[in-house]
Amino acid sequence: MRHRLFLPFATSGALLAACVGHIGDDVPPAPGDLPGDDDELEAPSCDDVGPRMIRRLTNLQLEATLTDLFGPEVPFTEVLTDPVIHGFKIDATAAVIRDLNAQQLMVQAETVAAWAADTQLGTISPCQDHVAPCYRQFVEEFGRRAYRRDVPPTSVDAYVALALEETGFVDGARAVLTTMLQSPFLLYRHERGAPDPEAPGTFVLTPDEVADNLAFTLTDAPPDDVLREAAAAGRLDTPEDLERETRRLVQSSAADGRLARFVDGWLEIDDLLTRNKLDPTDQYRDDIARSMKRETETFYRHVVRDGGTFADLLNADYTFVDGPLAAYYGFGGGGDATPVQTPVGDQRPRGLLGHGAFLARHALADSSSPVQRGVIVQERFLCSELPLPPSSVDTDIAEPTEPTTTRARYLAHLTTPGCASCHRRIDPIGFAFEHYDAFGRYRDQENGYPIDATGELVVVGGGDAVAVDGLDELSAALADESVAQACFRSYSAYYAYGLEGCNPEAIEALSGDGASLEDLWVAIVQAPHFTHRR
Amino acid sequence: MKRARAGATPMRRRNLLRALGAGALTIPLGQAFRPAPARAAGGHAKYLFLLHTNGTAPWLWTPAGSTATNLVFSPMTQPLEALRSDLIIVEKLSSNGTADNHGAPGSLTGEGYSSNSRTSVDQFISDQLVAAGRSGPIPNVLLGSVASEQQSDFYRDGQVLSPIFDPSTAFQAVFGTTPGGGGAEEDPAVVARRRERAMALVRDELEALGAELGGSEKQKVELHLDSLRQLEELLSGTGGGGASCPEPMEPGDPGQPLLNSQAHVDLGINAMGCGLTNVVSVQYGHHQSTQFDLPGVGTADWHNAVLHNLGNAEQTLVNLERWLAEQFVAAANKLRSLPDPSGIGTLYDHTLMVWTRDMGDAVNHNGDDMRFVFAGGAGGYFNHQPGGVYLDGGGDAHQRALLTIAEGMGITNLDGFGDPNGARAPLAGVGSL
Repeated sequence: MRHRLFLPFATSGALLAACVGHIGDDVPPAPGDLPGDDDELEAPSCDDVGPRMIRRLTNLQLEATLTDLFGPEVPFTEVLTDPVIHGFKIDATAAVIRDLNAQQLMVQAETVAAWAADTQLGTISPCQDHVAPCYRQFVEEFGRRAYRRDVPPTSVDAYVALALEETGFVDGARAVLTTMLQSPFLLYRHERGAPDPEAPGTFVLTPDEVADNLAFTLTDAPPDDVLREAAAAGRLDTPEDLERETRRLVQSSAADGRLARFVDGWLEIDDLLTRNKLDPTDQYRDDIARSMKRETETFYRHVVRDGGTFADLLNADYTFVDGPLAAYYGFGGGGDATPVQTPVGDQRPRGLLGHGAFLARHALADSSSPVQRGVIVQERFLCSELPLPPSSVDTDIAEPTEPTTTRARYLAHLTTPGCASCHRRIDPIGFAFEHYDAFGRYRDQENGYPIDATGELVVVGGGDAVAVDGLDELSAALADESVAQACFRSYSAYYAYGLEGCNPEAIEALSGDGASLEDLWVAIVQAPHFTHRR
Repeated sequence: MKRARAGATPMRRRNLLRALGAGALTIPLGQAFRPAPARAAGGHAKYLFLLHTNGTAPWLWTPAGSTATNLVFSPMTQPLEALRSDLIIVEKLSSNGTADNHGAPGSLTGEGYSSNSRTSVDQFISDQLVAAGRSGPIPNVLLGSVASEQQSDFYRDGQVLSPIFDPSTAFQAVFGTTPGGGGAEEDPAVVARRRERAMALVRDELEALGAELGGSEKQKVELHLDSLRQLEELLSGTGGGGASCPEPMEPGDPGQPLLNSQAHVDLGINAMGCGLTNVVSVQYGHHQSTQFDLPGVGTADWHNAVLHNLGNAEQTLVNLERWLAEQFVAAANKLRSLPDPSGIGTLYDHTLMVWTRDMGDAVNHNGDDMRFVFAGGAGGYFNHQPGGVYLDGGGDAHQRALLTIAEGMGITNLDGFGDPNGARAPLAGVGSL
């Protein structure tokens, strides 16, 4: 059982004078493992393909499921909790139904069923007679969509009996719907499979289960008609089938939100708009923050769909900005609310690390933070396990008595005995960001002193430290770093599986360093965990 | 993302009574405010109200100069003076390494990361009350935190719990047993039978599913089945409790976590007053990310921009701590405003109120100065003094304060809570059964 904490390093001074020991024992991350971990149920081992399991739908997935069943007007409110693990709300182990959840789901089911019985029966039921054959047809047909598989015969019988207890079809259908909406077959994704005749003791997921996996993994929604038909026709059995459907879905607008939520969670920019910022110029506003987040999401989707690679995420000489953000970045005015591909030129850094969302999110309210920026790079790009600051240390960074630079203040970390062992891997990365302030704006100087953006990339398990000067050089160094590429694969796989450590070798074999991001998605889907259980 | 709110119709008193089942106990409001029970030490509380926050800067918070019979309030604690004669403040307790950082697991459990079964004191109490037949139909209500985290310092059997954040969702969770969908009111007996049949079918499917799974996957099914059992007890009235109560209104969305928790406090106490639960915990904010913009306090992030930027934000922390103290007092006043469903006194008279924190010194990540603020009538458990009580823990284990909470709830067998090798006795001098 992993019981590691998310690191409390979102503070400028959290590590000052704290690093009396070591950093992660200089042990490189295990393949597939991610740094930091919230407490959770005992996660199933995923050393090979993992056990047969169930995954509770997230709120988004549940809403998409109800929308698929009843249309966009279906009344829905979020009643479940999606724990945030590693920045994402997709953890397969932590998402459960417990305590008051059954009551919440019952209330939601009753609300939706009452609404549907009043307004939707003509659409969702093939007949409206208060007799067993009609109910059986309704349960089997509607239930197949709700359960995303055939309703078990015992359940069909139970539903028919339950409906016949009512006095008419509307109430009978309402009773069926109320119950189906609380059923574990709707609320969980099932990965139970059927015995694999070629490998005793293992199970192969059924076509319905594979369709479920593909749909929820790539679109956060139930299978579309194409997937349903493919499953029914036996066209989800081969690696080529999986590749075909993966590429289709990744390229479709149905994957827009899913892809955006990956980059939001990976870079921890999802809560950008709720972060307090104290911009003395008042240029950094909610609409700018919103545009920044959309810039990163649009950029990531483009790189995935355009055959781009991990290196392209870091080195791209273009970005996507709308009119207000273009003006904010100094690209000149013009443009409307739609982000358009724009060269970064000489005024902005290349790649994701230079996006306003990343720079503003990983900074303090009114100043940059080499610690925050260094930590997020170590954690999210290098999968480094950083230690917690020991207790009984003063983590407040000293306030300067004279105007100075952020860099000069943070250099204390590297000269205070006991601190350097940690901070030599953190702050020098953060220093490379120093041309960009707490609001993502470029600066040549700070408090009258010229910016020094020289730094160093130190990689646990990597080669020698790489000296860098500025963000472009840092990004280029990360793009070349094999540890960073493996780390990216680990985050991508976790986002797909909701489990850590599944099939890292298989994924690397299918999509190693330099592969396109779309190929990485294909590899994740073709890896054994996606289709097999033990 | 949200569309129509499920069951947003405010709870009607009649529906609530129906929902509570035949065991509901109706208390004529005219009899509600009987004289309060005797306040001499000796007795125990029926209700637990636990308010949980981040740690603080002890040197600014501590009521310096206080004694065992008189409290001297610091600027941060000044609002607590309204509760002076009912206050017991204990400081300088040690977490023994279990609560010396943001999000460390020991503050409410007494146990560190090495434990796979740690359970927070509210959950332990909840279980004990259920076992003793002293629970409401909802064993406990856990609310608060922030939307982006949905994690907490509360645990059950080693699993971190997720408080309900959204006030509207919390309202539905606690008060949402009326038939959804609006329209004509239905015969409650028909509704009850329909629900019973639905739950039986769902339970059958779940049990069949669980039979095919193992390990953590089976545990997921068991949690779901437990949740169904809790619902069945709530609907049948076999979980105990139930009383008429003022019609609670569904709260709106205040737009920020700390104001959300104001609504949580209100909602939780209303649930007590309606006989729905005996254990309410509210976590104000989250140890990593709590943005606030409060009049008279300021605009900042609690963790980054205040606790770890104290050189620039000392006054903001003072303001924020005062605001939190005001929330504790407001909760006490709310408890005082509602009759106990038993008809004897108010909720306050029967409630053990406690303000807990994730660590002692949050500025320096130190769990060696844990502090607890006790208040409430607690059924006569506390040893109050007219001038208030201040106790210096002298480095004693903070687990003793957690055991004190359990003892104050009338739980005499404290085995099974906390570190079995740690201090096992409640704090001396705080209260007595």
